[in-house]
This record gives sequence, C-alpha cells and structure tokens, in this order.
Amino acid sequence: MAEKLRIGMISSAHVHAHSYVVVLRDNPIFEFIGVWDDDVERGLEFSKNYGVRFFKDLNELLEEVEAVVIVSENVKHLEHVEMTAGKVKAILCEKPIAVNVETAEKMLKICAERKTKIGTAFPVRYSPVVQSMRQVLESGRIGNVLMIISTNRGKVPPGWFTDPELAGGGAMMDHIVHVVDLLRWIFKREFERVRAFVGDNINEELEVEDNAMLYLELGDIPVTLDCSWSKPKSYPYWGDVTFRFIGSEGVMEVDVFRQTMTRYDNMERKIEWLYYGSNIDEALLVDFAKRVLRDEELFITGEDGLEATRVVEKAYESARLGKVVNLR
Amino acid sequence: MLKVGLVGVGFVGTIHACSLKQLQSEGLIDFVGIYDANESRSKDKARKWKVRSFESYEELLKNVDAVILAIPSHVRKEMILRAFDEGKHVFSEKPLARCLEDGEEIIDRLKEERSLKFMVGHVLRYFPEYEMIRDRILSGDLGKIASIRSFRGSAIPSWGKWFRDFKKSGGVILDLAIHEIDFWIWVLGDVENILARSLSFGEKMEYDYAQILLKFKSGAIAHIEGAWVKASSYPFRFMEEVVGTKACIHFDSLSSTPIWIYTEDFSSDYPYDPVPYAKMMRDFILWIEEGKEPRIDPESALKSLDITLRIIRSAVEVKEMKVGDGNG
Repeated sequence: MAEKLRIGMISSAHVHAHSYVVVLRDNPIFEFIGVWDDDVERGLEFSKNYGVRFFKDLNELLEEVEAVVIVSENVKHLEHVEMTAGKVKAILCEKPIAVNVETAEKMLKICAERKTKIGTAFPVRYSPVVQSMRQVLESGRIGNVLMIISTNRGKVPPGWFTDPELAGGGAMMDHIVHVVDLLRWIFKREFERVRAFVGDNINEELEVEDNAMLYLELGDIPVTLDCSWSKPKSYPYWGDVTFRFIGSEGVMEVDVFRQTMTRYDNMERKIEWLYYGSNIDEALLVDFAKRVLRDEELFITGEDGLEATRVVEKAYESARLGKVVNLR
Repeated sequence: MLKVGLVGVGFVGTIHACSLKQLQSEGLIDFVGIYDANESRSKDKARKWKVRSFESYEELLKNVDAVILAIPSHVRKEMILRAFDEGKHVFSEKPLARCLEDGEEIIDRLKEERSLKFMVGHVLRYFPEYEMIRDRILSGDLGKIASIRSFRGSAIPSWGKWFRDFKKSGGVILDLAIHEIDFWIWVLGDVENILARSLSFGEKMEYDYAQILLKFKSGAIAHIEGAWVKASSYPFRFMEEVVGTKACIHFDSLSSTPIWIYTEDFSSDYPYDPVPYAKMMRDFILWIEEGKEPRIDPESALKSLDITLRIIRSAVEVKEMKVGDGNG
C-alpha cells in the first residue's frame, strides 16, 4: 500500500472545514489524526458530526502529524502558523492567507525560518473546467486576450465571515482572491492597478461591505471583477465563478460551477441547483499530500496567497481613497 | 392625416418601415415615401413597401409632416436641423448625435421651435423586459437598488461599414452600450463616477468591446458591457441583473428565447406583440397628433449622450471620470 500522509486540522471555523474533513477522513492518501480547535465546543461538535478525533491539546495533535490544514478565521491564520510551523513538514492555509500583506509576509518568514512548507488553498485551480479554459487560452483559439470580465459572487456567508474583527473585511476580503489567483496563474503576470467601486450595502444590517466591483489591470489587460455577496437568500445555489475572455479572434465564456441540475422541492417552496461537477477540494488536498510525501514544492505556494492578498489590500485602499491605486 | 417619410432604409430603417406600415394600416398615418442615398436600394424598397421613392431629402421633406431618420450618427445633425428648418417633426435613431456640441445644438434649436416634436429612438424603454424591470424597481418590489449588471452584445454588424469607423459611430459604446446607459440613467438617475475601457478606436474596427463601471448618486454601482465580437457565430444577447435590498432580478435573453430552429443552419426567434419599435413609433405619432407626452424626451436623450461620451472619454484616456468635473 502506498504511503499515507498523517494530517491534522487546525480549527473548524471556516465553512470549507466541512468539505475538507470528509476528504481527509475518507481518501486513502490520508491518515487523518484529528482536529484541534481554539473553540472547544465548536471543535467537539465538529468531531462528533464527522466521527473524527478531537484534540484539546494542540501539541498532542502535532506530535502525531506531518502536515496540517489551517481552516480558522481569517485573522487567526498568523497565530496558527506560529503555533504549528517547525513542528510539521507542511501547512495548507485557507484563503485569504492573511488579511493584509504585512501579516502574510510574517507568516511566510516564519515558515521559511522553520523549514515548513506553506501552501494556499485555492482549489478552483483544480477544476477541470478551469483546466480546459486554460488550455483554450494557451492554444490561442480566441487570439490574444484583450479584456476580461469576471465574477465571484455568493450569498452572505454565515457567522464570523461578516464580523470585521475576525474576517478582516467583507465581500472583498472573501471573494477577490480566487479569481486573482487564477488569472495570475494562467497569464503568468501580476496585477498592476486596482480601483474598487463599493456601492451601498445590499444587506443593510452588515458591518462589512457586501457590494463591490473592481477594475484591475493584469499586466496591460483590463479586468473587471464583481466580488459581491449579491446572491439573495432564495438563490438556488451558493454563487458563482465566471469569466468572459475577449480575444482578438473570439470570445470564451466560462461558468466554472455550472455543472448542476435543478431540484424542485414538493414540501416547501424551495428550488436548488445540485452540483455534480468534480470535487475540487479533494483534488487540492490530494495534490498537496502527494507533494508533501514526495518532498516536492507545493503547487500553490504561500507567495501565491500573498500576491492575492496584496490585491485585496490595495482594493480596500482604493475604496478608501476613491481612486485607482498602483499595486507596487 | 399625418404624412410621414422615412430616410435611410438599411437595417434599422427597414424595422421602422414595418412600424410605419402597421400604423398606416391602422389609419393613424400616411406613410408617403422614402429616401436613401443609395438610389437603387431606395427604389427596390419603395416598390416592396408600395411607397414613393424620393430623389432627394429635400423633396421628401416637402411632401411630409414628420420624418423618421435612420441614418448614420455622424451625418445626423445636419439632417435633423434641415427638417426643423422646414418645420417638420423628427424621429431620429440613437444616439442623438456623434458629439456633445451637435447634440446641444439640436436641443437648443428645438427650444426655438416649440411646436415641433423631436424624439430619439432609445427603444429599450419600450421593451417589455425592461418595462418590467423598471416597474419592479419603481414599485419598490426590489427594495433599494444596490447594484446592476447589464450586458448587450452580438457579432460586429455586418451591414453598414460606418459602424466600424470610430469617428463615425463612436464604436460599441456610443452605438450599442448607449441603450443600457440610457435605460439605467432613466431608471436610476444621475451618474457620479465613471471608469471604462474599450478596445477599438480606429477606422476599420474588426471588433469592439466595452467594460464600464458606474457609480450612481443613489449609491448603486453598475457594470455595463457592450460587445461587438469578431466571430460571426456570436449570438445577439442581452442580460440584466438587478440587486436590491429586498430582491434580485435576473434576466438572460438566450435562456428566455422561446423558439430554436435547427436545420443546416441554426436560428432562433424571440417574437414580441406589440413590437417595441412599433410601440415607440406610435408614441411619437400620438405625441404629434394628440399631444401625449412620450417616454423619451429630448433633454433625457442629451443627458444620455453626455454621460455616454464621458464614458468614451474615460475609455480613451484610461482614466476615471467624475461627473461634475467639467464637461464630457
């Protein structure tokens, strides 16, 4: 039998913890040791729900694992890297890697000093739709890409996501980084400038922004990104990641999570879209495991996380100043 | 009975001819004849529509009470003013003019000719999808409007070379996106910030694409796209998404298309009753005959032109525009 990666989970705060834990528990490449959570009650509940072990003492967990996945609230990533780096071979950190560039740089420095690899969880790179999209772009079928229109919209997420103290921001903090990472990766270019148009909130009770559209320059390609939490409560799906690439020879339109079917409930007035596309969280985690086991460089690095966070930080600055801001 | 003539019998001129034929059959007008700079085209169409083909614009003007102008944007002002000189009512295609000075001159002249009616064909205001969107917004059904996304695109027009000359048509922003821009100003009011990019400013454009970010005084933000795609397979499509504090509305002409026909070729149909163009033309005629105020007043067409030209300036100069900063 192939070698397994002994892995643990740091916190269960993030919604992605729920999909990650199933993969870590069930995929044969992992030996899932257990979960630690600074919120004991939440951690116990989580461990009970998924039938996994709960560790009250982080060090006990760290003694048994080679790698951890940090799935805590955005502002706690640094603290949790400090607690784990040097004691494991590799860390996979939930996105955004940090709420500002300074913190991300600190995290990377700690990991470098303690010889622990750190990667960022940008699972959308593993979508077969994205892979196919990338091949079309590289093949030149639509010519040179001249303009990009993108969205990563969603519903208002639950709990701490809308608490500025824990999330570090709202929709911009949550939804800029995925698209930014995909475009940096595919085009092998950096974002140069950003302007954030932040509108009045859709959900007026929120303390953080939920309504924002960005103008960006990826090298010299103009890009717009709608990163709003604009999907209403009754929307049949969590949200979207979409692209429209305008090329010199044609156009490609992509709806990354469109592989769904519609479910009409007969008990209450409810309609849902059921996703049957590939499990990108599983692909992310399995690739991470393989690379750690082979002692290879991670596919999505901490630097990738940092660069995405740089765009987020500058987007907030642009919104504050009301003008276009240079990233460097 | 009101005598009406049509000038320009190209793509949109032919649509207006259908409306005029219908109004004639209802006994509302006398569709006297047509004039087109292309004499053989004028004669062919005149035979088909059983109307007179005039030798010149002057001759047509002498024989009518009102004139419908379906001619390229850059020659519009002269022909509108000449009709005013002859004391004729004018319906003109959008945009009001190619530049703001021309637009202002037309509106100023109109103020001196109080008995004359003048209407610009911002036909979106008569489309039932758009009527519904506006009704839902104005009735408060959607709550306070936070954001809109608006798309209108097709393959670049294969008729009329002048479309492809930026100096003549103003590209996709002034010719196509102005539909959305006009509609949203009509519904949401004044624009405060403008940031736009577009692709072509030349004499022989092969494609053009615009991405436009707007911030309205109301606090709403908007993303508007106009597309003239090089690939001839690109379908004509328009989409609207309106996000309010109480509800969100989404519309896509492709997914709402009721008829799809598959033979060797591929086609679809999206029929209306009443036809929006005919509804608009009827409003123009009833304005003249009964003094009923139509939905499109000349001042609002000037305002839409002004904002649209500022959007173009933003795209040309790659610079954010704040309305009130000086003129467009």
